[in-house]
Amino acid sequence: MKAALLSIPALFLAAAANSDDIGFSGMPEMCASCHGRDGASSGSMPSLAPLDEESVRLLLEAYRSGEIEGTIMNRIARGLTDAEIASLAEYFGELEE
Amino acid sequence: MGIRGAETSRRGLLKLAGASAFAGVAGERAVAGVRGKVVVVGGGFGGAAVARYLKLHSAELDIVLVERNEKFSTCPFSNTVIGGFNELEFVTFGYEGLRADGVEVLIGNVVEIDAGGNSIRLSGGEGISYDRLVVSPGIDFKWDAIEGYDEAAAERMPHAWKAGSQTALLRRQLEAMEDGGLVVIAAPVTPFRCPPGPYERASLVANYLSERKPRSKVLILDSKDGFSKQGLFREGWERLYPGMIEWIGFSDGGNVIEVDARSMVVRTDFEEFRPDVANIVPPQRAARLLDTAGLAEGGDWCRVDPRTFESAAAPNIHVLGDACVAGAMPKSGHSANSQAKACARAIASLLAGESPREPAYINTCYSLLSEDYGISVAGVYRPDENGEIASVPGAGGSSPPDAPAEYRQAEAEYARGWFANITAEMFG
Repeated sequence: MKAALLSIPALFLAAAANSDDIGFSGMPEMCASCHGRDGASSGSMPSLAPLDEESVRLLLEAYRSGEIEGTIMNRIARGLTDAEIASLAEYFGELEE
Repeated sequence: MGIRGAETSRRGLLKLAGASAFAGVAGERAVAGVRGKVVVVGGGFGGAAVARYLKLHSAELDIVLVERNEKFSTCPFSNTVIGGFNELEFVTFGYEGLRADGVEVLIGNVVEIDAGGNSIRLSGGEGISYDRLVVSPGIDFKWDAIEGYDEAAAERMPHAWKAGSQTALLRRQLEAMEDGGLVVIAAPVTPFRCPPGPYERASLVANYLSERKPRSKVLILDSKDGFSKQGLFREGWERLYPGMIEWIGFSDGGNVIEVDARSMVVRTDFEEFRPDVANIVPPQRAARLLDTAGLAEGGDWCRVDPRTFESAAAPNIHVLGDACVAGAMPKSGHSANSQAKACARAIASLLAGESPREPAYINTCYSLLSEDYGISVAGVYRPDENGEIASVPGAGGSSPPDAPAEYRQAEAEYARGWFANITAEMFG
């Protein structure tokens, strides 16, 4: 099942740091540059705050595998580890409003 | 769960109270209670981001940001000012957001770094001491590299490679040029700030000329034999501006060796050109301020630890952005921003007496060829076993060639979205 080009918003993440652990790769912060701090985008990239944990995980895995064809997100998701995807999903899932 | 729940509700309250979203999460960082004074020199993509994220990780830290100018004009999107899509104000930002976060912002000119004394000195003689120093001062030009091209010449042949008055000057020259004129863009040797920048600039200048002065030409004289996203740029130029942009690489005589700004002459190894507008981007090096502490070790750029960005030459000093050697990461605003986040985490850990954890970095460079034609290159990076910042194999890369128009249009939209979000993250 391949989603049509660009029909699913290129996903990704937002803002700040995780509260429990100053360590890990800090990946959620890296997402804020494109997707806005606290998962609230002020531009054309999608906001991530509305997504729940499972959606973030499934989307990132689908971008990584190529099941969804976006633009830049496939190239970035291919650089993420399973552990990072899990942390990102947890982080942005917590921001769900 | 309890901590996160509390954080989320505190965030909500602060949002309701009108405080910034940053302040909302700042109070509960894992290193809350860490004290110390961090001085940041330079308020661009590296400096503004590291100051903000340090405050986020530990509200108790004293953060002093020293920046030369009251306002910062970004190089990213400054080509849209040169192309006439935006005014300079669109790429110009103040430091109110950082001040609201509790960062002390000083407008001043740093003239010396005293690594042994853990202090910096301003042009007025005032000294500022630090526990940790972060320098993100960007580039300086090698004025002696192209004969005749000095600061005075740049007033007639702008570089426009530090955004601001130079950007506006180049725009005015293009507006004043008659139809049928020749615009020369001299592109420098690698490494330099923003590898796709000269070619995005050629595109957006051609966009303006094709609409308003269609008999004009853009000639890129290059000091190298290839450039970033070359195939994608060429494909776009053929599609959008056929016949208007010519590129001459190093081996074909593109290397500019001399200019005469008064008579508007540009000379390469083989030829002489008489452009109506000359945009000379000279070779570059790390800001010379860094030499006051020997941070470039006699070379052009500063070596750093790939995990913390601490200088290889002096302890307690971190060098970010264009000025440092960051392995596979290009010299871009996004790279500096990404490095700043990892550096802020590392400093918070170091001040808490903990070891910094393994970072990962992302870079994204969008280039516009017209308002609705964008291309990109991205990368994900990690420190490797040799102590270099390396690209993650299989990740990253450029936009595909021969993509449909909707793909190019989407990337142009995303370019604008990127600019909106990264500038709001740093300055909003």
